[in-house]
Amino acid sequence: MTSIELPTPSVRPQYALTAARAAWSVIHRTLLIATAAAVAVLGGLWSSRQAIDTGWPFATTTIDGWRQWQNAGLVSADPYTRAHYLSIGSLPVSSEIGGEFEARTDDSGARLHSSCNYTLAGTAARGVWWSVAVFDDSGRLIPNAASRHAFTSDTTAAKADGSYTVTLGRDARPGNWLPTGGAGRLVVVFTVLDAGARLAADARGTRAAALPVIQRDGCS
Amino acid sequence: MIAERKRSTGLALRLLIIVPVAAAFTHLATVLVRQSDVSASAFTRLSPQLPLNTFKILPIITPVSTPLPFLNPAFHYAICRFDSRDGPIALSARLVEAGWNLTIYDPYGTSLHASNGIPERPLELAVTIGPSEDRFFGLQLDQATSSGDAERPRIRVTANSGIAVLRAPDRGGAYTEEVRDQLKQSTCAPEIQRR
Repeated sequence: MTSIELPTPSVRPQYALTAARAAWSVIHRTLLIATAAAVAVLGGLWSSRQAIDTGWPFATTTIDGWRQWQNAGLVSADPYTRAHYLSIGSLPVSSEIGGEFEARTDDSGARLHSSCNYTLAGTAARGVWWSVAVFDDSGRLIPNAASRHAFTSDTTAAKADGSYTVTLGRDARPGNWLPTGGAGRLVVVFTVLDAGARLAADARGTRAAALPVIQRDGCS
Repeated sequence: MIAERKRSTGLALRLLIIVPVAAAFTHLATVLVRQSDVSASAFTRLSPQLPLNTFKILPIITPVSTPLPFLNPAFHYAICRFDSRDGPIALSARLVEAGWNLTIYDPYGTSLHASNGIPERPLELAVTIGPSEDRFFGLQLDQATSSGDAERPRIRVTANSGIAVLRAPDRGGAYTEEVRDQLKQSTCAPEIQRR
């Protein structure tokens, strides 16, 4: 007498496989959605921080490494400009009557640093008041024995043709020297005030003509 | 199995659209919140040090005495924190020469009025700052008008509160006392008190 072996029903493993697939599907979807949500939130936060801290082309203009928030202080300023000045806690010179330009790099694009010496060379129009000041990366003045933190069109020794040079460096130099020793990364701020009559919005670009060129003289 | 893959692909495609939109929304919401967050603003930082409705001359700006980041050390500063809700504030300032500047800021750092000194000629400014809620001057908030003559323009500004910043250029140690004496001549006081 022979026995017939009937195939055993495989219902249980199939159910288990289906359940596992369903569970993986839920986990997969959840992970995908969570990752997407994280990317969206972090991307939004990062891009807003970048736009507020360093500016985007419609809010700032950059000329030879000098960056200006073109609507600084204006009633019609864009939200990025407003948020920028509110978050750093500074008082901008209104773009209606002057310009504030900020440089963090030299003319070759290298980051300004107190371990290097720099020469700022420029020519300012007669009657235009300007100043150049140097800060550390956080906007603090750099302590120094000479108590020098800025030069202006009144205090700079200029040449007969109106051109001038200001030097930045750790060690004392003859002429218009601003000490920078020990500050780390540097920020140079050039401020120009219009003489008398207000400039029309499309004429404000002429302020950039007074901007000096920042050249690196060497590093130690 | 195929249906499951299709579902996953569909979800991934939907997310490819949703993620940039959600990121843009987060970006805009953050910027809008931060443009009205005055917790770290210059006005908030300066207010505790400034008496109300009177000019205070700040000490010479040094690494130790600077009250704000990126505050230009090329200037001497006189600052008046004003509040016009109890009545208009009268402000007078003499912009002695080029480099002098008077700017009136609201608490958000918006410049409601700004004037520069003129080369080789002093400019006398008379400014009246009025409250906005009763439309004291018939102006909208954050508007300014000027009248009078070119020598002594009369300026009207509508703002409830803010700061008026008078900047005088630092011309070097020999001129410091003279410049600070000139700053002391500027006034900021309730208009009723001045009458």
